[in-house]
Amino acid sequence: METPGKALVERARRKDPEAFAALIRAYERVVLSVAFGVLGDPAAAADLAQDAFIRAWERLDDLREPERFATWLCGIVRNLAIDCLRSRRPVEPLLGREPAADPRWTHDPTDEVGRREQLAQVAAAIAALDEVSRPAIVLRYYEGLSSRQIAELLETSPAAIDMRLSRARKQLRAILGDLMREPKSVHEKG
Amino acid sequence: MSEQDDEPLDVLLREFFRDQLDVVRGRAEEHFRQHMRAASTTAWRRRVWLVGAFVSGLAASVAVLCAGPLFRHFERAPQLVRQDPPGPGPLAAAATLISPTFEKTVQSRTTDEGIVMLGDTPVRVVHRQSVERTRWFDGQDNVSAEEETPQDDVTLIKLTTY
Repeated sequence: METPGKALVERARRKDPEAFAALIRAYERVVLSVAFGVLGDPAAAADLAQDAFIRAWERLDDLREPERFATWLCGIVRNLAIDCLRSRRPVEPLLGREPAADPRWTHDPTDEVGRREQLAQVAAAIAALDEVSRPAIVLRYYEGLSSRQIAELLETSPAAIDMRLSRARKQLRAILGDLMREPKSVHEKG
Repeated sequence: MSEQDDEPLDVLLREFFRDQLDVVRGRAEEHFRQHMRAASTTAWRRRVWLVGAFVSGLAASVAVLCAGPLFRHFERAPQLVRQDPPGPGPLAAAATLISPTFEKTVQSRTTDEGIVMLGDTPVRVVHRQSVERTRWFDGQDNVSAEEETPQDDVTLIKLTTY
């Protein structure tokens, strides 16, 4: 993750919209990762990311250490996501199914339904992780961050992140073992 | 478990997250720009409203300032017309030179002094004493003048005899 300089944050604090737009471009993947990690729904994560950036823009004066902008921003995202989880009614998520439990599951490359089932299995496996491991996994595999970077964003230690990532991978391998043995990945289909 | 063993899982997860999140990227910046445009429009409208309110207030103030003397003129004019000017004299002359604000009070006392014979005719004697006080004052120059006119009238009323 390339972190924008302190100067850009300072410009944004002086209410320069272009500087803040640059910050959005730089941190959107991180924000989406954290939001998706908490909410488990890409559309909800996108909505939350929009709200989080607006809130950050309006509260930039509260940011005491510009060099910790990303951590501060992730704090906003987590708080909003938790509020969102509390307020929304429980829904049957895309992620709610038991992996490999559906007999209609198929590997036919032309079968869109089969592809969706695969996605649902991965989503369900990720949803089964704990609430700290999920954002960490997303940040690692979507944004490609190191444990130290993830720890800084989630305000924990790199060792704790390593431990959680290790456990999470073990849990995911156990759930998705069959899927990983399949010859084609979920995206090799049209 | 080695990194090699994790590779299929890594690939699977990377592709999954890309599939889920890449399609929603870019919305935040667009949303922020829309927010800024809306905020700018709102601020512009508020500014126009404030300027309009200020100009309206200013116009109303100017109108009141211009119309004020006219209203005061109309308020005072009937007083000047209604009140009889004081009689000739130095105070009356002075009154015309100062502000036309003045007050006039009349105090009177009437007494019945009984019946007297005037030759062969009985008459009732009515005695009326009065003081007419007129006071002019000019608040602007803090100048005032006062005039008192005493009056003493005796009226004889002829009584009918049977």
